[in-house]
Amino acid sequence: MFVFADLRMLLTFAGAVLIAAIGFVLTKKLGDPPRKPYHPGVILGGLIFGAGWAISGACPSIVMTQLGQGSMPALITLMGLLFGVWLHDKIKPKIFRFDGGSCEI
Amino acid sequence: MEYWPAWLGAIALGSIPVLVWSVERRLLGVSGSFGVLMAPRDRSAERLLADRKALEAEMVRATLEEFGPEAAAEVATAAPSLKAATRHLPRLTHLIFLTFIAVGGTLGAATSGGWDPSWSMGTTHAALFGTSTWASLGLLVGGIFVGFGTRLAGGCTSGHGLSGVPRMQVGSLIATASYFGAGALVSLGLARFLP
Repeated sequence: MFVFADLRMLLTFAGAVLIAAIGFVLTKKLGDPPRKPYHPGVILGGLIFGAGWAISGACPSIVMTQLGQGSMPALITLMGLLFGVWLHDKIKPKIFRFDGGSCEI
Repeated sequence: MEYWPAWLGAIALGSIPVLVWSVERRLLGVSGSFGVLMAPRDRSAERLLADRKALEAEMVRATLEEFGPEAAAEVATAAPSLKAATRHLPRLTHLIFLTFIAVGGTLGAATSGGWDPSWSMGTTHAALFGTSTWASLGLLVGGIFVGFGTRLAGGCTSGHGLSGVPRMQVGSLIATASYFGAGALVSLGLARFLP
């Protein structure tokens, strides 16, 4: 995706952001969804995530999609991802002292 | 391989965070689901949540202790939102959610050229990493970065990208700029320097 040889995913993402923006405006009367304020983790975490995405070719949902569509090596990515999540929850309180929040569904 | 058109994908992807918010009153978040899956089990919290009356009694007691009797009346009126705030989805729900993302991948493949499982990651990935041990190591290390980074940022493409950016949330905008920027830089670097 990120070598910009194939712009379909970028187009899809940009279009999805636009559609969601319209959707969130239309559903405004339901109330205000949880805010996503700035905290120090968004930059460092974002940079680490972006590097990982470039190397593995996957964000957390794309791993599952790759598995579903039959790209079996994504099993290795999934193992790495689960370990990364576990590692973060294990060591974050010892290193960083901010509350990063989460998009917990 | 005949892909679905990008606009159809955009409509589908863009609708999901809005639907999840409208129906569930939660923000979509795939990395959050992985977080719940990997979180250690807190039995005491589970027991307390299972017993609603005990939980509310405990909260009223703690409130009285902290703020005095006049706060008790407020607790009574605030009860419904209190309930919503403590409603955490169980692990199984997150597992089903993640599983059905994979099912979506299967359906997408089946309707665009046929489902054909293989041990290759596609031509772009092979061009960068080859097909050897290095490729597997790349997937593993990349996966660890993705897991660690998304949890540190408090969201990923779905939570920040699709649920925060459309609402111009500052944290989401910065996070999305960071991961897109790092992704592009590392990708272009790899394409340039790997054989």
